[in-house]
Formats: sequence, structure tokens, C-alpha cells
Amino acid sequence: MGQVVRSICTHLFQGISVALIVATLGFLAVNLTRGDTALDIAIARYSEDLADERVVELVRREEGLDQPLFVQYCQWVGRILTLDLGRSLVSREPVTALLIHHFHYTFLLATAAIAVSLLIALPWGVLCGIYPGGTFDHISSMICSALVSVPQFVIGLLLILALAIRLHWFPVAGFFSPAHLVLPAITLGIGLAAVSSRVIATSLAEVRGSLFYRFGAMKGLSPFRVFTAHGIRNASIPVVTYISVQAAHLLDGVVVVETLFAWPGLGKLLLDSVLARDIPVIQGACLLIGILYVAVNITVDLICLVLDPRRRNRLATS
Amino acid sequence: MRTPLLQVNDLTIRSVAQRKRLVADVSFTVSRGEAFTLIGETGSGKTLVAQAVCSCLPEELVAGGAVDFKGVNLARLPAKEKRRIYGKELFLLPQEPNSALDPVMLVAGQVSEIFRYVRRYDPQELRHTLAALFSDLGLSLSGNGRLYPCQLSGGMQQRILLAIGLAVPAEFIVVDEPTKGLDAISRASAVKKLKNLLSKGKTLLCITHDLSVARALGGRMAVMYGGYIVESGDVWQLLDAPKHPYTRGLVNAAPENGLIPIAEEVLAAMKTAWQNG
Repeated sequence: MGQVVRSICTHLFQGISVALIVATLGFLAVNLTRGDTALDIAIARYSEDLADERVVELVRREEGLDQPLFVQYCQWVGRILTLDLGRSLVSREPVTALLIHHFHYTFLLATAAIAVSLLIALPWGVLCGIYPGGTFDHISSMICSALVSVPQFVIGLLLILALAIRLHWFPVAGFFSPAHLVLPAITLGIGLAAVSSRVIATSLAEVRGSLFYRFGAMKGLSPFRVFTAHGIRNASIPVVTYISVQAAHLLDGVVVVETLFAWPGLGKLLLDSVLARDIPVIQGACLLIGILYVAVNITVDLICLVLDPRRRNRLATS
Repeated sequence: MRTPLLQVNDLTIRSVAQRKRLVADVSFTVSRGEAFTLIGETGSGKTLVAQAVCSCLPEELVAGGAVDFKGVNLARLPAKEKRRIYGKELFLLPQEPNSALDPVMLVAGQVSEIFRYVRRYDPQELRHTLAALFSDLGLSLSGNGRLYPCQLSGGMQQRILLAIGLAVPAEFIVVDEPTKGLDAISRASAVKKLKNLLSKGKTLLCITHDLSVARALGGRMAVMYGGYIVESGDVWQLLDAPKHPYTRGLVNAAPENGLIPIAEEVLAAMKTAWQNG
């Protein structure tokens, strides 16, 4: 148990470092690649006509942009540590509130997409894994390759055309009811399922080929018993890891699908703020994405520790 | 004459990929209640024979000839019928405990599932039998039993595997290298457990490279070299008065006889005899 706590602490420390590095990179990227930040803020605040040199200088002093970059950076880190991410230059809303609002939508979509993908991938992958190398497995493999190579917006557009415009089953875009969640979730879920079903199939086929699995049958256990007792947990270890990677990507916000369905998630927020040069929001989003990655990674490591005694053993003996 | 439980006739095992014969013309019978030991050096094909007997050879290998268990050729049986025999009538105890034990299941569970799902013991009877079996093997149910295979040493894993071998109800048990990785005391105790199985009326086919195991089990034995059986017969007769030069070499090479290596000319002569068919 002590090892697990120590492992969590190590992870947390690494995680905070990673999040800070990501946020710093975001800060530097915005500050180094752009022209005059003060001018952009002035334009965003007072419109292009009013933003003359005097106003820009005022803004520069007010926002501390006349300070050296290092001082700005320290001030920015200081604000982060007090959880103050500033206000959006465009909407004037607090960045924290904006991020929470948009992340909530991204989280909804990510959860729904993973659920759809598992609904498809679990039975599909298990069937392929039980008969590896069979006709069904070969055909599935081809379908998966095809699905992976189709861009998401094509799947999304086809779904909109068929299910929204032709059949009127679901709304085309927006975010006003649970029905709005269906099409973007399916669009994302299909692509995810194509890959994760292969991961499930490969993992299961490998477990079924292993000596301990065949030994289960030799002991006289029924195939169902061997599958539930020796198959599921062993096969699930790589699957859990892979699905967490997918989850981390989804939580970043999925720009293409969110834009296509006008879904107000993190991806859309990031895209809009980059286009509007809304610096505090970009920086806040970078920080949040860094933290999310770290959180997902810690969660996966913990789940794997629970699932796999070999890892616990390595941790205990290291 | 006791009825033969297992009859192996001209068993040949080929590797399709390597286009090579790994085992050739192996024939022997095992009668009900007897011990039969298959002895030979690493790579002589004895494990393959064990797998062929249980009809669980790796997929890339093809077996020819006939293996009749209770008069039925297992290789011809559909998978469903084979499942009915495995564990209940026929059982193969593999030699690699590290890969035969499920890495993510407590070792006690891997033994108890046999009592629970194959022998259908009720929970109280199960706990009692399991505890007795563990203590019989010098293990403790609440100690070693609550560990995962990765937390056990090789010798301990081998003992868990032996516990599984003792737990299955099968009357015919094939054991592959049951004493591998065990120290002298554990080896003696493992051999004793195998003899107990015999005294319970079970039939044993023991695969080993250890002459002392063959001696202890008694019964009959066959010596394998390079995929062939070079000599077979009663254990004591064969070990006391080996006829074939390779068997003689094998007996002289045993530690108790002074570790005399097998003469090169014997091996060379056998290789030529072989190439000439």
C-alpha cells in the first residue's frame, strides 16, 4: 500500500511538472510568435478605429506588457498558482468559467463517444479474438482499415445527410438536448471502435494462445469458465491502457467534430480563441489540457496497478 | 495382462514450417495403474510425445500414427468431446510453471477452481480439501495461497503446479518434468506425491531427464534420443543392464555414477544409423 501511495505522489509531482512545462510552452509560443500583443488587445477591446498609439501604450502599461518577458512570465505563474487565469479579451468572461463551461461539453461528448465505441468494439473485438485468422477476422480487419482511413468529417457529413436531413431522426448540429449528442458521439465512436476493436482482438487472441489459457481447458474447465476466469482480466490490461489514450485525446477537445456539429467543447473554444487571438484563453486551455493528460495518465496507471499484480510486484521490489 | 489405457503406435511428429521430422516411430503402451517414464535429454522429443498423447501439440506441428486413449484416437475427436476428457480422464501437467499459471489470479484460486468447477465441491468441503492439499505440499493457504505467481519463486510455482496435478480428478496423468527447478528435498517430496497418485490407482506417464525419478516411480520406461525410442522395458532391468550404448551412456552420466559423459562415438554411430533410416 505504501508503494502505491508513493507511486501516486511521484506521479503527481511529475504531473504538476508536465502541466507547468506545457503551460510555459503555451505562454512562450503566444509571446514569441505574435506581433504586438498590446495592439491586438486594444483592437479587441476598443475596435480598430480607436486603437491608436496612445491607447495601445496605455493597454501595454495596464497589462504589464512593457515589462521584460521573464517578469511577465513570473507574474503569470504567480497568477496561475492563485488559480487566476485572467479574463477573456473578447468576451471579458473569466477564463476559468469559460474553460469549465466548455470542458463540461467536451467531457459529455468524450464519455458518449467512448461509450459508443465500446458498444461497437467489445462484441466485435471479442468475436475476432475468439476466431483469430478466420474469415470474420480478415473481413473485420479490412473494414477497420477502411474506417480508420476515412476522415472524421466525411463520416460526420454522411451521418448528418442520412440521419438528420433525410430521416430527421436527430438534429443536425447544436447542443440543446441529449439528441444533439447522438451524431457527434457516433461520428467519433465509429473511428475509435475501428482501432480499439483491433486492440481487443489482438489482446484476446494473444491471451487465448498463451499456455495458462490452454492449461485452463486442460484442467477440465468449461470454455466459458476459462474465458471469464483467465481471459477477461488478462486481455483487458492492454485494452484499458489503449482506451485511456483515446480518452486523453478526446478530452483535449476534438476540433474537427466539434466544429462540424457546432459543439461548444474545448476544441472549438481553442480554435475560436486562436482565430480571435484571445491570449488568456489560449494559455488557460493549454494548461487545462496539460493537467487533463496528466490526470488521465495517473488514472490509467492506477487501474493497471489494480489489474496487474506483476506491476505491483515490480513497484514493491523496485 | 492389464488392459492398456494408452496405446501409442508409430507416432511421428513433423514440423510443417521446418519440413523436419521431430519424433519418429514412437510406440509404447501404458497399462491402467502403472507408471511409465519417458526419459531423454533436452530436445529428444519427449515433451512433444506428451503433447501428442494429450492431443494438444502446437498448431504448427503435425502428428502421424495413432494415439489411442481408452481405445479412442483423441486426434480425431471434435474439440467438444476432447473437453469432456480433459481434466476428468486425461491431464497434462506442463513443465513451465511460469507460463502455465495465470499471472493475474491468486495461486489458491488456480487450484481451487478445479475443486469448484470440475469436481463441484461445496464451499466448506472445498476449503477443507484445499487447505489439506496446501499443507501437504508444505504451502500455506493463507500465506502462499494469497500470492500471485510473480511473487513466488520457481520452486514454489512448481509446487503449485503439482498441487493442480494432485487436484484434478483425471485417472491418467501426464507429468512433464515434475522435478525441474526443485531442490533435493522438494524433489523427493514431489516424487512421493506422484507415487501416492499411483497408489490411489491412477496411471502416470512421466516425462523426465532425471533417472532417479524413473527409479523411484518404478514400472516401465523408454529412453528417447533424437526423436526415437532407443530402448524400452522394465525400469530396473533397463537401468541395471542397459543394452543400448546410449542408455548405457545415460546411466553412466548420472551424478550418482560419476558424471561420465556419453562417448562421442556412440552419438556419432547413432547419427549415422539414423541417416540410413
